[in-house]
Amino acid sequence: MDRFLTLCVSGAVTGAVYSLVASGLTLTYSATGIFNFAFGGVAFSAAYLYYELNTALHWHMAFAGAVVILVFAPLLGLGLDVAIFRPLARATESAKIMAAVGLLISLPALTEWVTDGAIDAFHIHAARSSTVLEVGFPSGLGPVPARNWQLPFGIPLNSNELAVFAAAALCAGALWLLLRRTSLGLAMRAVVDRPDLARLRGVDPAVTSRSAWMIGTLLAALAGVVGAPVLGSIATGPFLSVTLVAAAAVVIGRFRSVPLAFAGGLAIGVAQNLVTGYATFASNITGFNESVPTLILLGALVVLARSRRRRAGSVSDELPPPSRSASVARWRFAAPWFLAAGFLVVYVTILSDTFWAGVMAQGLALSLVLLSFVVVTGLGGMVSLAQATFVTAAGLTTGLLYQQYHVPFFGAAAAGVVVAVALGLVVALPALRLGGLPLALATLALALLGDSVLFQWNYLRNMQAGWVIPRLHLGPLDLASNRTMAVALLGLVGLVILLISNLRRSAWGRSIAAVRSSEVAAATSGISPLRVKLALFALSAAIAAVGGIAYASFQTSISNSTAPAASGLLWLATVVLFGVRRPGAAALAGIFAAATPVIIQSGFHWWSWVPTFLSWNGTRSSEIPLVVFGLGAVALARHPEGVVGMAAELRSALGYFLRSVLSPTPGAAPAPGSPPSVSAAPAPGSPPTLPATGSIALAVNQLVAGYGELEVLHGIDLSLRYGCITALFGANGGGKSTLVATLGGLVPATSGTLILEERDFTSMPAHRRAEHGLLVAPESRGIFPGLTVEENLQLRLGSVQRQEVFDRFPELGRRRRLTAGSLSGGEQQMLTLAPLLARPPRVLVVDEPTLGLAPLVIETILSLFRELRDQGAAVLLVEEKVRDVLGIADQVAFLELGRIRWAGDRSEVAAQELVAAYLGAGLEPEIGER
Amino acid sequence: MNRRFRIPAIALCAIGLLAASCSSNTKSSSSTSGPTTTAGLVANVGNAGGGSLADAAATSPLTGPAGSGLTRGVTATSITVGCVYTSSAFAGYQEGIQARFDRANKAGGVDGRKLTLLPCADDGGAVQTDVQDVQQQVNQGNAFALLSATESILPGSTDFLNNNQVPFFGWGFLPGFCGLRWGFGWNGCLEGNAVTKAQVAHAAIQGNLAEAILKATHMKPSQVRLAIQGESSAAGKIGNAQYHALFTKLGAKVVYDQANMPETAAGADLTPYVQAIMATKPNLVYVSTFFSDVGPLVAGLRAAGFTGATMDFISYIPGLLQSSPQLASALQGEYVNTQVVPQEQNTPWIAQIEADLTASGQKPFVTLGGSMGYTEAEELIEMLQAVGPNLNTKTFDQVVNHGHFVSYADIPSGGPGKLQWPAAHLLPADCAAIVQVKGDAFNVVQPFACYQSYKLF
Repeated sequence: MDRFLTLCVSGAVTGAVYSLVASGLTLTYSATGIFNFAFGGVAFSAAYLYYELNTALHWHMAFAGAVVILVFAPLLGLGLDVAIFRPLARATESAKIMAAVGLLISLPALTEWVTDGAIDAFHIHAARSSTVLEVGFPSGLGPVPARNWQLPFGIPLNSNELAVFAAAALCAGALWLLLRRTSLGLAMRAVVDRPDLARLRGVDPAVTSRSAWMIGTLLAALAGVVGAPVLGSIATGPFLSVTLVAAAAVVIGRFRSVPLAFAGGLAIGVAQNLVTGYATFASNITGFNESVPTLILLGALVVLARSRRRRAGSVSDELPPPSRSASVARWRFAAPWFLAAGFLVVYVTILSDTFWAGVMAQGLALSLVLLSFVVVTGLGGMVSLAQATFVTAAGLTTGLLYQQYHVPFFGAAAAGVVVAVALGLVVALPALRLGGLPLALATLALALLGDSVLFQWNYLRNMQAGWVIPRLHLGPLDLASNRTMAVALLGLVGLVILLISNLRRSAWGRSIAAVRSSEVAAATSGISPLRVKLALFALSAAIAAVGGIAYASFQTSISNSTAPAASGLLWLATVVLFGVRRPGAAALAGIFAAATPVIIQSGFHWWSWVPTFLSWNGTRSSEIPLVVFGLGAVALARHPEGVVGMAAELRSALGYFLRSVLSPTPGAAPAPGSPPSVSAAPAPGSPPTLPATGSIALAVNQLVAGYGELEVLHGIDLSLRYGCITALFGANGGGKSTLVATLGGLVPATSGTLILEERDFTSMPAHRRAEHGLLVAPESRGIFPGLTVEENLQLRLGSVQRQEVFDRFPELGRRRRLTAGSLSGGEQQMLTLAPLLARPPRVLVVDEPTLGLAPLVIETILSLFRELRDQGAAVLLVEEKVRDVLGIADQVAFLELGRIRWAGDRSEVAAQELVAAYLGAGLEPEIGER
Repeated sequence: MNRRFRIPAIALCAIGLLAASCSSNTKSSSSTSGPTTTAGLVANVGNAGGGSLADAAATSPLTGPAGSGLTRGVTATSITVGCVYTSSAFAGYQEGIQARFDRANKAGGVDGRKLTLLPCADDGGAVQTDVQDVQQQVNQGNAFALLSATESILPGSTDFLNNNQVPFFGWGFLPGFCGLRWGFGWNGCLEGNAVTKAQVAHAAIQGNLAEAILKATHMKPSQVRLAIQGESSAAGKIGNAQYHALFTKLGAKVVYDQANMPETAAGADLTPYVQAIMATKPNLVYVSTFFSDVGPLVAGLRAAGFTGATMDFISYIPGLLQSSPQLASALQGEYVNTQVVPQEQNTPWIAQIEADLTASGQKPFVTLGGSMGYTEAEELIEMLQAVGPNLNTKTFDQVVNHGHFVSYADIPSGGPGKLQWPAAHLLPADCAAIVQVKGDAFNVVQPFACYQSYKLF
């Protein structure tokens, strides 16, 4: 019993470091949607700086701590937010991971480089990086050397551990308060839930993002400073390991709950101790003890991470980028790639020396591995971090069969691929239940398990030495020559690219796209998501296996350290940097990855006739390449489609620019004021106005807006008056939603003006329009599905007004603690409108208010609009279905193909007009009561 | 014994975006079958009158092409030497090499050829980068020989060097320095039971692994109750098996043998391990774990009331105790088995290194990396001097691998243990010192000396 208690208590104390990290990760994820893999990098930098200030320069602990945690960290967080993470808020999961990993790699290198540089330049008596990295158990926030105490039951506790525990508890408490009890925290969660709606509700996403990153970085710095003494060194490795363990605690907290994550961290510490202490049967399995956190992570993901939200009118989160190639002939699209390939062949066979041919060959082998990402992540939308496992498994199997059992090479390689595919199917299992970040973490956990258990098996790995994989002689082709190897690999890469392109265009490709955008819809169309996902992982594993064998063959050896699990993170980051959807980009990424470090170390020198200042001697610094990688993360933030996507954008922007310069002005605004009108129409030349029943609230004048090159609204003129409901009808494709989005500020106006009560709103950002009384309820309800009913109201109302709402709508009151996403459609619409009744806006714009609602519910909703009008608000209802809304409209307008076709008083609406607008079946609409 | 550093993970491994791969360090260690009988004892390879194992090793086949007369990197006036290392673990390496090269060059070089050291490539702990660096130094830099100090190395690097007849030097617990014709460990081949009979014909375990500490603590083997706590990895298991077999052979009792401790960083609270060890009542504990676990384990044992001796193989790092007071306090009383001559012993060898460092413009402080660099440089220079003015890979191979060349032959005691080639391709020098942590200094309690190795097969 004694022993058990000791293990539990001491486990909980050690687990506090996980709790601390998990709190920070939970905050960042729940407030920005980004899982901060870079946490370890920030913690490292903070620990490094603290060491320099406190130990090397002898600053007092409190002062050094304050500078690092309260000054440096928030500033760093601010910089990271502005430069990298805010632009990435809407990007794909893989782009977010890439940016975080890029930061993880580059931030420590940058810290070392900058401090070494400063030491040299200003002759500061601080420690150089080589010294700092060797330090064991640096001092933290506490007495030096640490005080030791004996708790009851013989449990030792030292002051550093106490500091970690205290910090963890304090942070968990403070964060919980922040997220659940402050308006900032509510705003943060709203932004992650539905960013556009939050902007329309007056939440400035810039503020929430900035706050989240500043606080998150502060927590990471705190974790670094108090954690380094406990983890034993100032190095990124330990912090990364702790991050991955803390991820399990974050999952236990369901990515949202800080107290649960805190408890989870402690629980993991206890579980580790209990397993180590009692599961002695497993001590013969190498790597078992260190796998406990990974197993907990996997278990927690599978059990807890399933998304339970019901979204109304949901649309796929991830839309593919606008395909610019659609209008370009295919040969023009492919031509640059063929040229590049041709140049590469010429370079490798003639221009380069053996060394550089070898670099190219190595790069091409890597390209094959990166192409496996295109299949599973680019096509399938599933982030897989287990590619390194496939590479190692295939290589080791091939080596084992070839060297030990003398199986001919191709047979051994085939077996290697089969083994990798089998592992691929295992890795695919979590994908059947999880998606997005949880899936990425699950694949990473499986990869870590592979490394710590499977690849420690001496039979498979052949001790440290590994196996020999030969360079083949294929008839006339002698692959022992780097040049031949490079060309052969180029051919192989070309084949795989062809395979992937064909896959994308085939029926399988369509199935994959279907499953990606909506599994439910795909299943009901007869496509089996199970089969598609398994097939994707299997194919991806096979390609990675081929790449791995090629890579091993180039190096003529393979061991269990050739490709550790962490490489998967690095590879994903690299391929996303170049563009994970395009096979060509992945191929390019491999070559760059191999060539860049060599160039950076050795510089480049041209032929003799080129001026010498264009040459560069390179640098021996091991940090520069890492910093360059970090810059890549910044670049990605600007262009989430990757470098190649950036190039494509540049090319098309250039084309657009040339066309607009060389040809007469395209897209000129139409002549104003000539819509066909029925009666009381204004004179041609002036915009159609609505008869005055109240003063003008919102005046829209010649509004032009669109998306990129596509102009949707060609000059809208509209006036909304107080105390008046205006109904805007139009068929789909006419621009209704674009108009709503433009009024809300989500889509910028290209030209024209928007005046609210004398104030020009045209370029005002969305969140400020809400402050001034212009409220927009977009399509698919204006509620936050992830927040509770109470919290939804809280965004606009104080507690007294909220109670009024609950009194008036008892059904909402009964559900106040439920998440809004679980309400029915009618209740959600009521939830959208209820706060507006309690605190009416000046102007309300609603898109499709009756969409998907039952007739009785529609009645209720319409009466709410009447009430708002009677309170004096200007209401604009944008609808496709005429019947219901026409009954309460005062003014009516028709929108067709981006122009207002007719506008006037409701009583002047002719039946034929309505029919003509809709190609209806000749039914007379019923004009209901006003 | 060997160095055990956990290579810091992804960030340090990520040089150049992808060529990175990180490797956990491995140790050379024992075999599953212990050494045989007393008759199998082999005299230290440096001593005259070798035993059967030394002779067998001297005639064993070596992997790799015989020297064919290449003159890469050799001109009438210079010899180019390449260099690859991990700066975070072996700071001072380049300076150590340069100090020795400067002394040789000042004396006119080797047979009129000055030694030119290529700028050392820092692999940042990433073994994949080694492969590229090595190839670059040989193919582009035209290195005749290559010196290395890395925490791990892939066969991709060592096989490349071996197949291209590039004499390469490094620490022999890593693969590639056992059984390869062109691989020369600065203290021989230390792989022990980390190799199989299929890989090399003969292997031995170093006696110093057990006997040095026994001498330092004046313990008789029969009095010893040994607990071995190893790291959780295949390498840890191999190491444990080696110590276990050695101590059993000597007549000691092994009461605890587990290779199950993950790195502290991965969150292991060490209480369960401390509890388990103390329950077996040992009087000597071998701490064979990752570096970050050593301090906490020793401190944990002391806090739990352990009064015996604890020993590890990796924490002799000059300068560590001053820069890390917390670690120093955790390690008080700890014994460390070190394969490099401790500078605290102040032998003529150490004095020579310090003098050369000063002459070369460096501080006379012998770091671990500096010591290794200097030793490898010494080893290379002696070989080059023995070959003479007609220098190419064929003559090098013939003189060093087929003659009776002995490294460090003229170094007085207190310097690196002598190595007889080609036997040393398979056998260790088997020399070590024991230092003990007292205050913020390492005290030499068992001076650097050479011991007898035990035959594995």
